[in-house]
Amino acid sequence: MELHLKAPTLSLADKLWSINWLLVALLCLIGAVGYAVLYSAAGGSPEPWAFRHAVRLAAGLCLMLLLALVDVRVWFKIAYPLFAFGVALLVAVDVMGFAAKGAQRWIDLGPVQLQPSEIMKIALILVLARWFHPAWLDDVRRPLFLVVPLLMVAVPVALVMVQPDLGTAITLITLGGTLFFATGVRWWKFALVIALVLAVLPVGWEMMHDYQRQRVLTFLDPENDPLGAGYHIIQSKIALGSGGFWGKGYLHGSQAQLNYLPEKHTDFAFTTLAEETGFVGATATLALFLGVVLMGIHAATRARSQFARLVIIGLSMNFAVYAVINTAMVMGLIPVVGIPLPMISYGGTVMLTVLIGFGILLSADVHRDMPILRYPRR
Amino acid sequence: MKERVPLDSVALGRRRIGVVVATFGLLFATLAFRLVDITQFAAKEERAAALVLPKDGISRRDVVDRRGVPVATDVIVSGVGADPREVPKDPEVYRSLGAVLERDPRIIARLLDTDRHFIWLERRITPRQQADLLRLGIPGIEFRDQPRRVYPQANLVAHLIGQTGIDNNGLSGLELVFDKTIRTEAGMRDREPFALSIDLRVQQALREELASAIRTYEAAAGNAMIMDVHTGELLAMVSLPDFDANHPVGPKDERRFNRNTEGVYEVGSLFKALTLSTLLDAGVVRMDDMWDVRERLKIGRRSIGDAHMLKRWASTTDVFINSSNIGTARMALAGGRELQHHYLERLGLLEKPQLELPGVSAPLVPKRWPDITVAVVSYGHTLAVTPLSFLNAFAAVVNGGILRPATLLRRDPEQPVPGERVISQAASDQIRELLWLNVVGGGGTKARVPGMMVGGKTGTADKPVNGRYVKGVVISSFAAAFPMNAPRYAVLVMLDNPTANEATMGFRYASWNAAPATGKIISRVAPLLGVPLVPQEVEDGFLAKAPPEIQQEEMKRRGKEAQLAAFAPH
Repeated sequence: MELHLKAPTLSLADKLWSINWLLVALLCLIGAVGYAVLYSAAGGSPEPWAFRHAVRLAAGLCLMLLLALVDVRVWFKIAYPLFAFGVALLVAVDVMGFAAKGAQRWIDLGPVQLQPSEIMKIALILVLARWFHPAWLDDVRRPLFLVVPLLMVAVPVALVMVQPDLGTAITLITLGGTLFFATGVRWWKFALVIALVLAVLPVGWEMMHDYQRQRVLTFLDPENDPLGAGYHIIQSKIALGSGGFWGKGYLHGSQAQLNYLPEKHTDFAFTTLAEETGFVGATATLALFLGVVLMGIHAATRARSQFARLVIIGLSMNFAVYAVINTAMVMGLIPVVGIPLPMISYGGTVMLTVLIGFGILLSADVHRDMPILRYPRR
Repeated sequence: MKERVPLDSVALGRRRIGVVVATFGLLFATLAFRLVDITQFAAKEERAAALVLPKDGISRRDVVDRRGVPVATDVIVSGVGADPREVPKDPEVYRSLGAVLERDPRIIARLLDTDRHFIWLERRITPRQQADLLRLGIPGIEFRDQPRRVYPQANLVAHLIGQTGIDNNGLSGLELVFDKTIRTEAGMRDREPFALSIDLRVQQALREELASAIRTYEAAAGNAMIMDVHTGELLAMVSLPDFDANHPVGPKDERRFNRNTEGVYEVGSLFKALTLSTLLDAGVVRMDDMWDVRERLKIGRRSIGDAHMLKRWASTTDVFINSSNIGTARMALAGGRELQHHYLERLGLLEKPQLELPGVSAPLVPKRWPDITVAVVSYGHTLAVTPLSFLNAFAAVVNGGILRPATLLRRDPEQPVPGERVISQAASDQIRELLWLNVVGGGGTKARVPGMMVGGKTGTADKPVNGRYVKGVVISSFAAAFPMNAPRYAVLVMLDNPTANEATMGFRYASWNAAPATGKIISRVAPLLGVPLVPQEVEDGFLAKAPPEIQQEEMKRRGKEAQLAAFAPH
């Protein structure tokens, strides 16, 4: 029983040694690509975006490395409180948004704007990992065991949908689904849930008023509205197509440079990049993202505790979902949902949450051999 | 108790992780594939769209007339913009910029109040303004050269060429219709110019003569066209009033209206040339038929009369050269409704004409077609068509019977456009003779041009004003072709509401205004077009077949001309 009495500790040097520096380097590289894109989007100037991006990147990387040194059991302990805190914040923004009669997604804390939905992504991963950590395969295969984690996903999704923020809702569902899948929930249960959703959709559709349906349709297919929401995606496809194989050359993308491309420094940064560096640059960037995700998942396979493995998978997935949804969106594969490209798009919140996420991921990886009690208080 | 095996869950977890990896690999592969799709294959359309607003503006090919004279060309002009983040936020700066650009400093200040990295202050500035701005030395001010479309012919072809927008994109006219063809990569200005069928010399002559006719006959407006009857090429197309293509007027402005293609008119007796040629083709009417034109023709509760009642039986020739409505209506009724409809359709008069311009008008076709409609359509009423449609059909009946689509583009003489036969060669020969007779001894004598064998037909149609015919308000027109022994060109001249004044001896009829105007036009453009004088023997051969009274009249006139020529100063 001594295995369970006291967990081993790692020295600082051990920890630094076991950090996945290749992953850190890849993240730095993506951040540097972001700097180049933002420099170009500003017409060849570090102001107003690229410089701040670099500062945030540096600060974020430091924070990430600090978090990487934190004992993984800390995350295990704070999972439930953090999740409760996240839900409370989501309720708070919804109430505030209701009071302001508009969509509200953040809480203004003076100098910083707190975006509860970003906190919730990490909190959800931690809480599900925490829940599934002590579970035996038999437990996971008991439907009743899944009720609580289902609620853990459903509650924040509902709160986010109210805002309304479809992009985050989809992300949360994907994260939840991936973790369920990774713990071994049977295939047919996923099929059942999907079938149920598909079955309920037409009924809900019938119950809606015409104006509500119209909203849903515009929501799902903004290209119906070429001068409104659809304008973005049309311009984006024009810019992507005009890039060709080698691109128009760095700092020479006309669509972005002349402001025909909206949000060229935020949600559509990938388009700015692809217009100027073409198919080659865009594919290379995608490869960087894929590299990060694969390294993350590789780390998951060598983690010894279920908690660490699930945390690593969840956080890698979080990053992957950002990248896939954003790039698919700007290429017109899916509707515009307003999700930025992590580490490249301008914006502090996402950069910060992504790097915090990687900090936790690295921490779980560094402590991959550390056992965590299945039943700590028994 | 069943043994719990945690390792199972780990092994399963690994398998599941494999699935997750595969899924994401697939997703990224999809993205890469989509990238290939967008940047390589589906790219052409998108790349063309990106051409809409390249950084340095759109370059366009020169547009030239059929002889290579420029109609539209690009010149490089400077524009001034600014990087608002670099321009000092100083009222003095706004004031001095405003002074040079002749704009309110407050507007300049508002333009500069943005976080964009480039804004235009003025798209087109003069070299002097540029020098003044350079002297001011304000940081953040940038100059950008861009092509700007200029139209050296100003008003001359304004209705046809159209205009371009601030980014040199085609907005109207040929610039719009052929926007993609005319656009060119920057720096490739030496590409083959875009050639029109228009001959600017002919266009110029036509415009001057039309303007002169509008002045002389105090008309409200007018339009005219000259077409090559064998190719359908329009050598000239003028609509007055017009505007300077370099300073286009607003879309609602009357001057913008191209009466030739956008206006639809009841062309009046001009139509008799089409009616008669088709009935001759169908064999319903023969040249030696006689028609009762003694009294008004009653159809149901309505009756048809002639401006000058002949009060006798008239030959087919007489009906035509005296422009008898009664006679023409009788002929049309002899042919019947289906025949009339059939030929109108063949001649393209029941549908929108084809031409390379936006906004060509469809005809106004009567919905019901009782006998009275058959009668009035035969002499050009009720059915309203564009002058272009009419001229195209007219060219077909005089050129030997082949209808070809009208065009504003130069056609390769080596590659004749296949046409569609609408009437027989024999019927076309007969209508040519009748049209020529009409100018020798009928209503078109004032269109006569010695040695050109002009043939033509007058038309004076009451003009509806707000849906009602107003007495004395007419559209007076003349359709002609020359030389009638072997027609090469067709001309149409229309005058809107000419006044009965001294120049016309108090008449408002086309024979007194549109006909002489057409004669002057032909005498001016025939040499430009290189049409040789018709030898006297050829004309005499035609004259020998003419009715005796016309022969006498022609001989008398020739005598008078010979006398005048003898006294004319050399």
